[in-house]
Amino acid sequence: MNIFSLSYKNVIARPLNSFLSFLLLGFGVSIVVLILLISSQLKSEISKNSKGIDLVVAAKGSPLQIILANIFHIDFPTGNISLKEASEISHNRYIQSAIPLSLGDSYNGFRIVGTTKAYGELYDMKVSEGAWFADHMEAIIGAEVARKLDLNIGDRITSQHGLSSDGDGHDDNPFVVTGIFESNSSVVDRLILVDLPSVWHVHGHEDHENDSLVSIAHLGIEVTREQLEQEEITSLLIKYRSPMGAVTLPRQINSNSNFQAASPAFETARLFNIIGVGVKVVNILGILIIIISAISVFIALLNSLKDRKYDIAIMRSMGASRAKVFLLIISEGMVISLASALVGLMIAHTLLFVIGWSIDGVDFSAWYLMSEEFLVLVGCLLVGLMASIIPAIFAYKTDISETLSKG
Amino acid sequence: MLIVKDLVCQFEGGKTIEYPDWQVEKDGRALILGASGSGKTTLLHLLSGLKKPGSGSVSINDTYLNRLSTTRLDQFRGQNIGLVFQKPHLIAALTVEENIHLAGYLGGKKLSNERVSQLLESLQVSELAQRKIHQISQGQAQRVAISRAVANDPKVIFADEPTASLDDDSCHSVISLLNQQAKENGAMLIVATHDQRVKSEFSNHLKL
Ligand SMILES: Nc1ncnc2c1ncn2[C@@H]1O[C@H](COP(=O)(O)OP(=O)(O)O)[C@@H](O)[C@H]1O
Ligand SMILES: [Mg+2]
Repeated sequence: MNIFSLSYKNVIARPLNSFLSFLLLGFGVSIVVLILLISSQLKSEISKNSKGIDLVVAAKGSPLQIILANIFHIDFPTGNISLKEASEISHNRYIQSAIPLSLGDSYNGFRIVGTTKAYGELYDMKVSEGAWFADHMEAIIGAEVARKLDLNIGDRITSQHGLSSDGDGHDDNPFVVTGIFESNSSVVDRLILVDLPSVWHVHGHEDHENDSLVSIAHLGIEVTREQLEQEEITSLLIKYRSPMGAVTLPRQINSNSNFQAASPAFETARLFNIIGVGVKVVNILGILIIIISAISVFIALLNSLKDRKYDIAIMRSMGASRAKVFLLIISEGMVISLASALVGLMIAHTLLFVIGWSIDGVDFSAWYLMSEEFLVLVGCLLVGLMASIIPAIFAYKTDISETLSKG
Repeated sequence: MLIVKDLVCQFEGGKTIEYPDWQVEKDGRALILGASGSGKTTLLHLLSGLKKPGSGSVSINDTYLNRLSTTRLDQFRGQNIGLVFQKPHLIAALTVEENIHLAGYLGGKKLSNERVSQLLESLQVSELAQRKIHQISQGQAQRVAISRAVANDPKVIFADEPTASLDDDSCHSVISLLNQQAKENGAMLIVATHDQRVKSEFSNHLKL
């Protein structure tokens, strides 16, 4: 028997009395924590996937759409740009490196990306099985693709036109899986990488094996003269040589060509501003619910005190000091708020897990505790403390003799 | 030894009750008799330090209650005084057994499980140990309240109208239980009552 087991038993003995407080506080905490978890994980997801990319150059269209399609692989590409013009742009003196991407095909819902090894290096991808593609019609796949579609080295996959799984198949031109990446929770986990000529090939453009190849060193590819003149890619992922690039390059590209330059940093900041308003509103709602729950804890304690005035007097008559009955009521408030906060945290993490599990392309690590959650926990204990102080003072001041003679 | 001297109770509204000087031996048995409203409950509250007197003094085994601070007084009461009220007033959130343990905890003496079961046994309520309070009868609850009052081996047991709502049989058995417990613990027993049935069992009477 101690003060905590006593207060725990007192709370448990009147479940209905504290149920509303429990419900409100648990609900408020789960909202606040869920928002906290989602926005922090989105932020880290975004910064992880756009690391090392200063600018994306693609066909004219919405900059946000360009970023979403070419970095996060969630929206549709804005169209294609000519390989020749793209290679000319990549010569710009402000550009340190440019990685070509060709999008538009998929396999069972996973996107096929025509690119170069530099794309894998951008995300520090390590090969866990097999090797990078060495030739046309070879593919190296992300860990999640391999796991979800149960693909192994040597398996054949047929690309489908379009980004949904019901597109037309390019049946006669299967890829062979030659490698599988280790998972590193980047967007590449969900991608199938092939070389650029393979993408052109499956779209029925003939290869001329005998043609002499020209090397486009800036893009790290070799193509035939005919391909250079005729083929298209979707975008270039650009890294600046110097900060000066950020000042001049986007303006230069946007005004002089058919191209649209989009800055990941700028667009994601814009996106977060838009989301930020919603986050704030929901957060305020959560905090409001927590405050209401504090009032409800206060009323619950005061209410139970009315029935238990006699209990308190009896405990005093058995030797409990005034400080002890004060602490008893405080700790009852703490028991209610701690229990609801813990349940709220559990609900938030479970919801996060369900969201991550049910929405494709979202990869939340649900069972990871953030340091801010401890702040929320401490905040809840403070709420419990604040709400129980006045009832505890009433308990402290109970006149034993008067209470007992009225019983 | 209980010594009451020049004791006056002063209520907030101005009403006062003066009590006669009185003494009870260390292991004495005494009765406080008086009609309803004559000041018996108030006297017991003064004797056990639940209420501070307007003037005068109460000393129990050479400790003057009015010289103790509130906290020390609570402590003294927990260790030396056992109280039985007209109604049992057990803590409803706890089981019978936990109610006894609570007395130990609040009185600053941790009771062993053996001590608790031995107490419940001597008051013939051991089979109720795990029950919640609302699962036992009023008479059983009064026995549990008596075990709670004697749990910490008090030097003095005060009982305020412990038999008022009981039939003759229960009345007699509660008084003999109190007597027996006081004897076993070497404690003083003081019973306040207006119940004439109890009168014959005590020799030291204080009439109010
Ligand atoms: N808080 C109080 N203020 C004023 N008078 C009180 C108070 N409490 C009790 N009394 C009065 O003191 C007298 C004694 O009360 P009490 O000790 O309860 O009597 P008993 O226990 O003998 O029935 C009664 O007349 C009662 O009206
Ligand atoms: Mg009375």
